[in-house]
Amino acid sequence: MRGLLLTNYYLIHRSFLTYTALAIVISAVIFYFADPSFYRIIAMLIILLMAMPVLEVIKLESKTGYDKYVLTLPVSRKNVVQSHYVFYFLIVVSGTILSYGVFSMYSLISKSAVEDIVNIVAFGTFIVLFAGALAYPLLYVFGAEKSDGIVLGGGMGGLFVAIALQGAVGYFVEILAASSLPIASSLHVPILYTLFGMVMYIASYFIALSIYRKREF
Amino acid sequence: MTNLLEVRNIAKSFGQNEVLKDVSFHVPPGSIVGFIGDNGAGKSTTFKAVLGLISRDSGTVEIFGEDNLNKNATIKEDIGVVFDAINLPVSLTIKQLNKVFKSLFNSWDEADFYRLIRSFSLPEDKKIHTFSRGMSMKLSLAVALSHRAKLLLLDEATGGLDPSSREQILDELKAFVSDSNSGILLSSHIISDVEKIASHLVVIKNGEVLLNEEKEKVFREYAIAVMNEEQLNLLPEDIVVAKRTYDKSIRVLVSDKHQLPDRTLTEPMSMEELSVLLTRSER
Repeated sequence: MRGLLLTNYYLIHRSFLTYTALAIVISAVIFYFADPSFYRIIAMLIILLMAMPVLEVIKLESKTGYDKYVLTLPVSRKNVVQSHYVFYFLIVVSGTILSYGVFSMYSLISKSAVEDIVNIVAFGTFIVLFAGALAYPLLYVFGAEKSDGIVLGGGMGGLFVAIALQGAVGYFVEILAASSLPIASSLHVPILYTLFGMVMYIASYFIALSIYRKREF
Repeated sequence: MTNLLEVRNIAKSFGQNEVLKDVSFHVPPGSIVGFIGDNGAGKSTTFKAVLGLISRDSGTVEIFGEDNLNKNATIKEDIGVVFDAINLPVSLTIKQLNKVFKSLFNSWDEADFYRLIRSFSLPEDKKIHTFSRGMSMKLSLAVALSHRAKLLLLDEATGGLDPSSREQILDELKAFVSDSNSGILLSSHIISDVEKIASHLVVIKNGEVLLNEEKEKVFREYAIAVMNEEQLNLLPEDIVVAKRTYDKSIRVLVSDKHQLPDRTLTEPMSMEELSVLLTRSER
């Protein structure tokens, strides 16, 4: 597993750094020109830009035939799928931390505190986790040639689902507020979005695994 | 001693297209099995079926006596594979590749890997996508030879190499089987390579194995007879391996030259002629 993660890292580390720098620059530009209604877009953009090269891993592996070769190494098909999902998740976590850092930094520099940073960042995290959850099974079914459309579709799908989920999140927030759980009410929404994202991501892993197990090379 | 690889009666179809038909052969310890066939004969499909990269319609594949490569990935510690293209992550350097394989193989031998890299004169810090085909194939072979594998599966691994590099690689392969515990399945278009190092021959045509024999026995017992239709009809059917009709005669590969009628005209048999007769045969 460590070897597979290391390969993924080597495959994309340059574009990962480029995209991360790009994410910081774009967020700085949006912060400067746009109003607070764009904050959620910034959070999503930072995490999505960091995660995009990770979805390219499958394309790069397929281009050189490494997707076939890797199965001749002492790893199982399960290990390969796990490595894709774990690597993407680690990058989403890094993106979430960076996104939080960018918002905190902006609050500090601009001296105008951004409210609900955790809430905003959790919204972005959900969208990007959902994009991965949608993209991986589709990449295994349709192959790397369709990866550009799948990645784009995943991001758009994540955004629509995040908006569509607002009603359900509101409903659960009311339940949580009525419960005696010792969780600050300001954390209810981010916790719910993160939880929904995780559940979908894990469900997607099992679907992707069953697809990948039957895949022929 | 158990065969390193035992392929029994495997069949595979893609839709209506029957690609492998009842394919059987084995790789005993200490042997190099030359796997010969034209493009599209089923060599690469056989490799994929052996490695579990495609499903089989029927038949069994035992590696080191076990038929569960997809369930027990640790068996692959002892298998080295080279396909007909580079198939390694090309944006990595050799140094990065070494780190990756060190994590993947318990038995990765870093010293041996770098010995091979230096002996093949490959640059350690350049990305693999800058390598020529010959350099890439050498690198793939260096990987396959660097984790103390017992079985090498080489699909057209010597293709694209210049004669001197091929010689160097064939020497490495001969050294690999010299301990008599290891074995190689080597598919190649380059008949001279097979002739030089193979101890067994498997010839496949249209997904069917036409010949599966020890090379020494083939050259000792087999013969190419030149005859007409009448003479052919008189031959015992079980010794006719393949035949090819020419303008005025038929060339017949027989598995036991001692069963040929007296004064039957035979041709000197080289590896090249044997291969051409089998791959172009009518049977």
